[in-house]
This record gives sequence, C-alpha cells and structure tokens, in this order.
Amino acid sequence: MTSTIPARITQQLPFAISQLPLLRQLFNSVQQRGHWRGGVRLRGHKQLSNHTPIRSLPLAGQELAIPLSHGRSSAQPCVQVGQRVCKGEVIGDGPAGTVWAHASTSGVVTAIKECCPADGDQRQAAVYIAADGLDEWAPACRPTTVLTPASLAAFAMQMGLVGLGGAGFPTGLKLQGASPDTLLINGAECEPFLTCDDRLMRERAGEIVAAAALLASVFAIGRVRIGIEPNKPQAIAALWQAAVGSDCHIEVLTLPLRYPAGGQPLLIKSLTGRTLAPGKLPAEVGVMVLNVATVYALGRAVLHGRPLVSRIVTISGAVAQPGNVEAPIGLPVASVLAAAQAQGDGSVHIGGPMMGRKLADARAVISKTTSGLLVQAEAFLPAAQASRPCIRCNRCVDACPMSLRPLHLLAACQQQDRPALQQEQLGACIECGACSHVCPSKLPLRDSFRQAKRTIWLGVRS
Amino acid sequence: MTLRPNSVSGIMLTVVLALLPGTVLHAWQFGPVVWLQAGWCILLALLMETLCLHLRREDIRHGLGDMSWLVCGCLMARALPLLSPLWLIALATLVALGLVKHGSGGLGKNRLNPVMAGLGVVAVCFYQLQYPAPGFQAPWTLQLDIPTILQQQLQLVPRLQLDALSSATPLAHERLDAPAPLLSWSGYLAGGLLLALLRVSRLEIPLAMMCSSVLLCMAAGHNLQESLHSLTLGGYMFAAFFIATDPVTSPDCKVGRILFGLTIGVITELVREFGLYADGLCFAVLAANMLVPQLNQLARKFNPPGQGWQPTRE
Repeated sequence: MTSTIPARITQQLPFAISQLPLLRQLFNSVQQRGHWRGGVRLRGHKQLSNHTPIRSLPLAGQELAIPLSHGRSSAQPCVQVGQRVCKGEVIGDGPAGTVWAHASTSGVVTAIKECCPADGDQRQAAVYIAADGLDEWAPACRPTTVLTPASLAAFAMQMGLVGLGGAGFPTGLKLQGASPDTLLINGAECEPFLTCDDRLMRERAGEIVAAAALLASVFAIGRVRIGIEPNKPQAIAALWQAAVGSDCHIEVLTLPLRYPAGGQPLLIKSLTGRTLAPGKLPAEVGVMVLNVATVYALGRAVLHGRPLVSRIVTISGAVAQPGNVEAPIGLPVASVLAAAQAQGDGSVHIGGPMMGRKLADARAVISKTTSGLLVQAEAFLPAAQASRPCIRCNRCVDACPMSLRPLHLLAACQQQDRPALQQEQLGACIECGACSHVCPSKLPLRDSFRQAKRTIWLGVRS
Repeated sequence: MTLRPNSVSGIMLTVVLALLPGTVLHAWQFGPVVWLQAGWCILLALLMETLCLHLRREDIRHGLGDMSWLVCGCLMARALPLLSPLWLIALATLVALGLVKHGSGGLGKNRLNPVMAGLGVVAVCFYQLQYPAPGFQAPWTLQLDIPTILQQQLQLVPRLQLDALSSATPLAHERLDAPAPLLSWSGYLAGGLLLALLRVSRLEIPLAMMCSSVLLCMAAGHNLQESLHSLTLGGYMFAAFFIATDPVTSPDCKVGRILFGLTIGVITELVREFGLYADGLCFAVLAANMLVPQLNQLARKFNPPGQGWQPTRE
C-alpha cells in the first residue's frame, strides 16, 4: 500500500503547482497538448443582452440597402429600378467565385447606388429596396445535383454565404477543394458584449447540429467538434441535447475562458492539438473551421433552400430593449437602434470592443459581418488615453497568444525595419488586440501592426 | 486581478506603496532623517523632471503624470547614504534624471538604472564625503533631531565627526552574529512580494540574484547562516526587489532575466569580498544593465518569437 502514496503525490503535484498563480507564472512554459499560452481574461458583459429570445423587426416602410460585394468578389446587379423582388430573390450575381446577393425582404427596387456597410472601410455598390412589409419569400432554391464537396461549394456561393464570425470570408471558397478529417465549429464568442451566437445556439441548436451532420456526410468527415467558452452553459446544454439526438457523432467541448479563444489558430489548437503555423490554411492541417452562425446559415440554405438574407445582431449598452434581433441584411443601423429604443446620443460601437470599430457613418447599414451594436459605447468601453512611452513591462509578451513580442514588433514598426519585422514574425500576428488591451502605456500596438502589414509589408513587395 | 494596476502611473504608485513598509521600518530605526531625506529627494526629483521636460519641450503635465519621478525620488532616498548633504542629493538626481533618463530619450529609453547611475557617480566622485557607517548594525542617526539633520543636510554647521557619533550611540561591533537588529530588509521583502503578487514585477531576478549570492558566499568559505545573513545587509533586499526589477533596464524574457539576476548576484558578492567600495550592488546592477542587449540576444535563441507555432513536420 505504501507504494501508492508516492504515485499519488507525483500525480497530484503538477496539478497543485498549476493551481498556484505565482508558480504558474514562473513555470508557464510547461505546456500540455492543446494548450496555448497568453490571452487575456475579459469581463464578458454578456448578461446585458443574453436573457431575451431573438426578436424580429417590423420592416414596413423601411428602405434597405443590400451591399453587393464581399471582400474582393463583387456581384453585378441583375435587377432593374422599379422591379418588385421577393425575399430571397437573387439581386446580384456573377461568374463562379462570386458571392451572390439576395433581396432580404420583399419590396420594390428604388435605386442601385453606393451604401456604407456598418463595419466596412469603403462605400460599396448596393441595391436599395423599399420594403412593402409583406416579407414574402421567393420559391425555395434547392441544390439541383447530388451534393458533393464541389457542388456544395458552388451552391454556397450562389446562396450568398460568407463567414458570419467577423472576417466575412466566402464560405464557398473555404469549402472548395477541401478534404478535411475534422470539422470544427466555432461557438466561442470570446468578444465581450456579443451574445448573438449564444442565443442562436440556445434557440436553434437542432438546426445547427443538422447542418453540421450534413457537412460531415458531404465531406465524409468523421469528427465534428463544437468549441464553446464555458460562460455559455445554456448553449452548451442545448447543443449537447441536440447532438445526443443526432445520428452524427458531434462533440461539444469547452474552450479556455480567455480572449481570443475563438481565434482560428487557437481554436484549432484547443480542439485538436494541431498547430496552425502562420501563413497556413486550416485545410493544410486537415481541419475545416466554420462559425456556428455560418453553419446554421449553410443548413438553412441546403435543407430549406433559403439564402443568407438575415443575421443575428446583438444590441447592447444603453438601450431600453437590449437583446438580439434577426436583422435583414441592409437594414439601416438607425432603424435597428430606433426599434431597440437607444438612449443617449453617445457613439455606437460596431462589433465587439476588441475587434470592432466605432460607427463612422450614421446612415450605415447592417452587413453580413455586423455582429453587434453597442450603444453609448463611452459608458462601457475604456476611454482612449494618450499613450506614453513603452516601459518594457512585458505584459504584451505575456498576453500574446501567438508567443510574439509586441514591444519589439512595435519598435520595428516605428523604424519601418522590414528585416526586424520579419524576424519578429509580424506575419504571425492575428490582430486580436490582446496586447493593446493590457498595455499600461496605452500604446496602439494592434493598430500599428495592422498598419504595418498593409503598408510596409505590401508596399515593399509590390 | 482587478487590483492589478493597468496604467503607467498606477504601476509607479504601486511601487511607491510597496516601498512603504521597508521605509517605515528604516525610519523607525534610523530616526526622522529617513523621512527628511525622502522629502528632499522627491522634491528635487520633481524639480529636475519638470526642468528636463521643459528643456525637451514636452508637455509637462502629461510628462509628470507618469509618476516615474516619484519612484525615482523614493528609490534615490533609500539608495543614498543617510545624512547626505543636499547638493550631493541634487547631483545624484541630476545624473539620474537629467543625464541617464532624459539624456537617453526619456522614460523607457535608458539603458542604465537611473538611481544606480546617480549613486554610482556620487560614490565614486565623493567617496570621502560619504559617512561610512560606523558599524553594520548601528542605527547611528536615531539620536539626531530634525534641526540638527537639516543643518547637516544644508551644511550650515561643520560636519558631525564620526567619533562624536560613535560615542553617542552604543555600537555593536563584535556582535555581528546576534539576531539582526536592522529590520528594514523584511519590509522590502514584503513590498517586493506584494509587487510580485500584483504582477508589477517578477520574481525571477531577485530569486536568481539571491541564489547566486548565497552560493558564491558559501563557495568563498562562509557557512549557510552567514551567507543568508549577508542578504539582509546593505540594502540587498531593497536592490533585489526594487532596483534590479526595473523593467526598463532588465531583459525581456525569462531566461534573460534569470541570467541578469545571476550576474548581479555574482558581481555584488565579488565586490563585497574583494572590492574597495561598499556599493557592490550599485556597480553590479550597472554592469548587468550594460549586458541587457546581449542577454536579450542570447535569450532569443532559447525563446524565438512565435515559439510553439512553428510548422510541424509530418
């Protein structure tokens, strides 16, 4: 019996050490499989908006502006001014590789001109539709052939599917030519304030699981894993329940409660233990990563023949009715705010506080990547402070999930020193903003890296 | 973790707060001279910082807002020998803030620790003017009242003679191994641990410093008790937790910091064993500061950026 005691001690000692914060800090280089270091703990503020079910908005009398382009692909309008369109009717199409655009409600096309997407840099061509309030669906559009990976990819482009997590990468391109062995579904929602994926998983878990099972069967994937941050117990429970009832083997796993747990390399690391080296695509390590809302939209498209015409938008902050709304694409942000009875005249923040941005144009419209609106952002987000010199406290080094050294990267950015930037691996930066968040000197670390990637990087190369 | 300061001024004020226990113990044993010297040091640091910011045409309010001058003043007060004349404090502050800090481009740009550079210049140039403490253990300034101290600091009266001081205080020359009557080291230790708990400083440097000092001391023929006792002498704890841990002048990663701490410990012990000056810590820290870029280079080999995310070879 005595021999078991040392064994027990040796088993428990690493655990005991890992529980002491000071020692853990000292020995944080000890890594397990699937573990990633760094990241920051953020206050979630999820309770502001996750209590009420997803609502829909009355659309009569609204004028919607549906953007036609996504990233580099831009669809050509295929409707005329004055034409009546039904919800889901194609209004912009193009050759293969183009994400098609669809009317997000029934009404009459009033103009084809530029609009300003809420989270975009530039103005984009858009089809303006005066809603008639009937919200009448066009006939469902189902895939015409047997589903293969290639036909599913083409179908996803025609149904206007893009990644709804934030980047807006066309889903069809992601599906094209992929032969993954694992499907990862990102339900992390690690950004504070946002609860759109949380509510979606709670209320429509069955559809998500059905869509995941469909994807798994089309791509002959054996392993489907859904990663969720543990601060969404109801969503986890709902998905568990749905997954148990499904034929497909779907695992629901919790992610570490650290921002950015939903970042692509970190999600892959957490759920599979595989390392997504900088510059590599998930397909190269045999995984396919899709946001939970994207999977849901894909399921709607394939199983119900409904294109992507709406998305769930979180409304949080100083509003009388916080919560999530199912907003049609192209609805003006102002009407969403009016429906939620926004208070105060402060600025509106689009998306989460870490990756999002301030609403630049009051006439902006909801786009496919607008995940949330934070009203009276000044009251909830830390005020911008004047930056001070770097005191080399190394907090950014500790926070960086990609094990970079933001302080050295910033120095190289300021000197426009391209070899140093390469040596410090600017390309590995995922622009999560954890470094800027923890910097006591309030240095614009992430913004500098983003800028450097665009100017120094591309400028020298071209 | 809400207690963790998240601004530069917050970090600086936390350091000042963490200095308090040691300073209070120090003042309890050495009398009001400790507080008076701290007051002068802080005042002169404030004036010098304002002057430097003005000369560099920086925004004075924004520049003073980082509170680094307050930390510099508090550290300088403890680093300089007690009863230093005012002009000597001013000179040390000029070197620390004027030359080392603002001369190299302001906060965060200096390679040398400002306080140690100021102390080093004073110690080398004006060695004769310093009061060598009559004994390691004697709180010899406790008896002095405030007017006498002020007269001494402003040099209005001739300097006190050491003999007068020695006869005024009961010295304990022969009782080195008695329980240490000087307790301020425990205050600095507590303050340093507080800083580590609040994640303002890191423990690697002090731990490495103490390990190397103790080991070298034992290698030189002292026993463990004496070696550990040497850590409580001459502001060792203060320097370990408050001077060497300055993030600006210490390396950027763990391996580097451990090597940095080892270097300081070794040089301190060598100066203490064989050196002429009493300020082994000061020179050790300055020497290690000079090595920081090399240590960073070395540490990068062990710990390249993006470690753990390299492409895996199938």
